[in-house]
Amino acid sequence: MLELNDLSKRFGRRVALDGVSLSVGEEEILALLGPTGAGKTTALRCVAGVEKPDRGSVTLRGEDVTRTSPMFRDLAMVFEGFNLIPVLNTFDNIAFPLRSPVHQSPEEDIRKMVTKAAADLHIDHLLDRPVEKLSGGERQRVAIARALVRRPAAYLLDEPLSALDLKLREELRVELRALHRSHRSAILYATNDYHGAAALGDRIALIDGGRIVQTDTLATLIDHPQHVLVGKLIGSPSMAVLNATSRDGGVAIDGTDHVVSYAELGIAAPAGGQVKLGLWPEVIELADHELAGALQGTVQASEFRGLERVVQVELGGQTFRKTVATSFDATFGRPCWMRFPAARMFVFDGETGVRIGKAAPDLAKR
Amino acid sequence: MAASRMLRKPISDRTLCTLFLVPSLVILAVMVAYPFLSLLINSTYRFSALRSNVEPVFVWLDNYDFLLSDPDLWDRFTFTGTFVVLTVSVQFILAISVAYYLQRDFRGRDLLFTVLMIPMMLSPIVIGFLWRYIFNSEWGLMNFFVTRLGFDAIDWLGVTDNALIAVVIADTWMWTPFVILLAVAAFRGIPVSIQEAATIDGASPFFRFTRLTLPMSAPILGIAFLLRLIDSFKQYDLFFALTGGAPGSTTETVSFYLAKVAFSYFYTGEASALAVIQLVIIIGLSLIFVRLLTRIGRQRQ
Repeated sequence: MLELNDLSKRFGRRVALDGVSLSVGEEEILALLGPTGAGKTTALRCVAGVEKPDRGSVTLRGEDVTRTSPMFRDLAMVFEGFNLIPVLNTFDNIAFPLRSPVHQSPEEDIRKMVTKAAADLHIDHLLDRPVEKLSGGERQRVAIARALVRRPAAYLLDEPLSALDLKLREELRVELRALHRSHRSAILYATNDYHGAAALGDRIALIDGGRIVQTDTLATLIDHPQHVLVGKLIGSPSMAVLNATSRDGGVAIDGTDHVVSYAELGIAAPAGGQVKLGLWPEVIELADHELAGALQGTVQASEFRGLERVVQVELGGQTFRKTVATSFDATFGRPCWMRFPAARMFVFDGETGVRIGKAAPDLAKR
Repeated sequence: MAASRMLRKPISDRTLCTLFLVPSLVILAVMVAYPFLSLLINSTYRFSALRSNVEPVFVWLDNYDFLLSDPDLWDRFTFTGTFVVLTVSVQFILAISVAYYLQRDFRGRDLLFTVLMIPMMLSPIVIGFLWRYIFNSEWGLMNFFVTRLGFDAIDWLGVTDNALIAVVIADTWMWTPFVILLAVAAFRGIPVSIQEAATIDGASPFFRFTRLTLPMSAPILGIAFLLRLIDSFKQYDLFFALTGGAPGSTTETVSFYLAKVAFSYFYTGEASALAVIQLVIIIGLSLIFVRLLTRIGRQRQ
């Protein structure tokens, strides 16, 4: 449906995109997850045609549109900055694409479609309000409605829920999912919010520094992370990543004398001495009392979340975060004990961050 | 002791405001209020500034009555109106079209804009004489081109309609750059991303220009329009230098006539009355316009 092939773009010296290739299926939501400045917006702008890539191409419905004007690409985009037209009211803003020369529709159809789109996003009571009088969240919904009012080849959503409060954001994620079920169109959804990507994306493409780190379903990303950055971008709290040095027939976690043997990790001795050990916090066994054969660390910070608690644990000068029960004694500076199941550990190259050892065979082909 | 106590005492905001306001209020009173009041008073007397020994006679509104029933004055109003409509619309159509192409960045932009500023920096009298030479029917530059193109020489300043066109051309030359500058500023004030979003939605450049660019620049263009409207309504010096009101007195604007009544005939009372009438018209025009602008502004908020 929508393919990005080896897109590269630099702004002066700064590299915004570095060989980005993605493919969004016919009825798929592909979440593009990455930190701010990773190149998400540039990627979407290249697809929309308002930015020219230095290299690479964009294919839409099997057709190369890299040189097609944005006017004729048949896409709808929700911008992070909304980009509503301040001189028009809500109705006319949503109706704008349907009145444009390319997608012109009869006025009575427009009325129906705009009313429908506005109702879907719960802004039907705002239709005759000037957009300048709307709140940030309302404007964002108008921007989404302006995109959803049409049935384009693909939707490009750039942080479309960022201006909403948490409750509305969660509601709208569900709504978007439901709308997608009825629209059945390709969506490229850029976000820096892990929860949003997890809730909406059929697959998640992780981007960092203008490069795609890994594109997979959430389950595959969790079971088979191919790069240490996957651990940084996925999960809340994200993956516990500990620097380690390979010695004595195994990998020793820096700052401790704990050595995990290569056999336990299921890898051959890595070439470089430095590695990173990754573990999803959920598999770490953490206790506020002494456990037999456990490593001892210190509680460094704690965040109370009502039904649970997130603690930051220090171990040999390194830290990670993990969700625990509220009964956990998280007094600052208190010792805590942890056990790392070796079978669930991922080993990444200390320099490149690439996964070492047993790569899942099905992933190698992608 | 006393001095130090005075220094320590803080000046209240109110006092400070008053202190800052007083000088400008005094200047305003002397420069605006006094002349205006004296104008109002003068307009109700029959007198001539030339003959100060003749005692002014209070005549109520006779001066206004005399002026408004004078068909010559109505001719001048009609002529001024025609000139205003022509010159302002030509300037705006021209300026907006040019500004459309000047809004993006290009090399030599700053230089071009500096050059564009020159016509409005020159004195209208200088410009008037300059164009008088250009429009000279015998050896003027304009007729040089006209005859080169195979047409008959045009008597630019000897025929009323031609003279009107000549002044419109000169005024347009002088003031279009000003409108261009404001229009470019207005167009460039519109975020590029709004235009991009509209383009993705399938809007052509023309559609974007009429549905986005123009409505969004309406406040600035409106102010430019108001300024040009008032300014061309008051136009005097360009006519003075270019046509001198000729042929006959058919290219006299209201201001031109006013100057004549005041300083050629020295009917000071009537001239004052005419000045008041002109002022009322301008204030009326401005009020309508400011209303319109605030309404646009309010819609936006």
